[in-house]
Formats: sequence, structure tokens, C-alpha cells
Amino acid sequence: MEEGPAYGYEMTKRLRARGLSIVGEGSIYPLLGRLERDGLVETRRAASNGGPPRKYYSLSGAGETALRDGVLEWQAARDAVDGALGLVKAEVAS
Amino acid sequence: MSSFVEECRVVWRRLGVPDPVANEMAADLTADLEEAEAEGGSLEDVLGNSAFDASGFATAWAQERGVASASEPAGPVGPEGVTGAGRWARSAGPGRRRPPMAVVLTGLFGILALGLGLAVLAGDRRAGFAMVAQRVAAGPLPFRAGGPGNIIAAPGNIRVFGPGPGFFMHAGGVGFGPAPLAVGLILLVVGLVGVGLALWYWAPWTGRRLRRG
Repeated sequence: MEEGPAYGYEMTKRLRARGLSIVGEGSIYPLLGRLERDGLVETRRAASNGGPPRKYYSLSGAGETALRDGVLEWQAARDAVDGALGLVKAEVAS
Repeated sequence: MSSFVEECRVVWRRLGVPDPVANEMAADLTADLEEAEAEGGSLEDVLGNSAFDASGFATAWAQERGVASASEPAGPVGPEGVTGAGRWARSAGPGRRRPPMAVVLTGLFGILALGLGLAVLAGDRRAGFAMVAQRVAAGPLPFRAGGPGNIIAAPGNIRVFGPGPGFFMHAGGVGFGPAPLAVGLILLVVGLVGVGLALWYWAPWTGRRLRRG
């Protein structure tokens, strides 16, 4: 969403293009519904390319803050896991 | 694909999703599905596993969005089924449809137990909370057991006196029976639980029927 507003299926395709097939575990629609309810996204209805009007989602101010916080949390968790795996790797090599 | 959207509409109606919101959700979903179909994709390409569970998908979407006014179980209800805890919650919690016969039987047994309990308590005015001691005035004692003065038996009239509150025991004539006070109280509790459970299950079920009617 940070790349720009997108509708549901468009987001699914963007995620797939990056190797994140989260729709296999459920669906993106309930997730977008929750983000909308929590005020983390803003929506507007606009015409799509030759198709019917679609509901476009974009980050709200609160959503941008939540995204920044989430990225920091993810990086911290990833660093911790990488650190632990680094020890394992060193033990395996020795 | 359109049948999937129609199934979702039915669920949203049941969940009390306002029509304008349901129409909007259905339109968005339809547009996405049509786009996927035009690109040669399938329902599963858009919805993943949810493609096999319209009810669970529609419920989750409405609940996550906060537009469902009626309570409905969340989570998948499709081929994978619900989890053990979810299945228990769905079968045991209030608000779920109950087999009416089971509810009626539970209520009847509860009322029966209540009546029996009251009858036993009312019929045994001797049920007390103090330790009772009685001596048999005449005749040989055919049976004596327990601590000193604890059990006294006489031909044709056997009475057993327990060691403290609530343990008074009595049986008329032959053998030893359980204390009427304890039996009465147990029956009362069982009856109250039975009637309570029946009401707990029956009320929401009746309410749903009335709303539908």
C-alpha cells in the first residue's frame, strides 16, 4: 500500500509478485476490513482501467505510524533470529 | 463465481450487515473475481483456501470490518472444519441452535429432580444439623457398629446417627439409606442446574425463532 493506493485483487497480485502468497492462508479482504475498521487505511472509490469502480485503499496517518512501528518490530525480531541462527551456523561449521 | 458471491450475501444478511455495506462488499468482490477470471485465473487465485468456504469467508470479512450486528462463529467452517476449542464453543455456548428434544428433556429432568428434592426435604422434618444420639429403650440390640453411640440399630426400626452436621442418616425398617437432607439437597442442586441449563439453551433458541417468524 505504501507504493500507492490499490484495490483488493490488485494488492493480492502485488504481494504474489513479491513471493508473498498470503491469500493461501485466508484472504486479504478480512485483513483490509480490519485495517479499515481500525482507521489504518483510507478508502476511496474510483474507476479502474476499463472496469467498474473499485474501492482503493491507501495508508492513513495512523496507518503510516503503525507501518513504521511494525517495520521496526519486525527488524528487531529478525535480527534476534538471525543472531540465534548465526550461533547455530557457527556451531555446525566447527 | 457468482454463486460464491450469492452465498456471501446470504451470510451477510444473516449477520445483519446493512444492505448498502453488503452491496458494496459484493460489488468489490464481484469486480475482483471478474478481473481474475478475465486474466484466466480462478476463484482460488483470488481467495486462496477461502474459495472453498463462502460462509467462513463472508463471516470473517464482515466481523473484521465490524459490520456484523448478529453474532456468528468466526473462523473457517469449510472442509478443514473448526478447531477443537471452536467446535466446543459452537456446540456449548448460548446462542447456538439446540436440538429441541434434548433441551426439553433436560428441563423435564431438572423439574423432576427439583420436585423430588423438595419432597424429600419436606418429608423429613427430622433432618437436622446437630449431632443426634438416641438410645434404644428396650430389646436386644442386633447390631452395633462404629464409634461409641454412633450407630444404633433396633429390630424393625433402624436409625443411624452420623458424626456431625448434615450426616444424619435414616432408613425405615431395613438396611441403611443415605441421609434425606443430603439427598434432598443434591436433588435440588441437580434440578436447579437442569432447569438453568434448559433455560440457558432454550431462551436464545426461542428468540431466534421469534425473530425469524
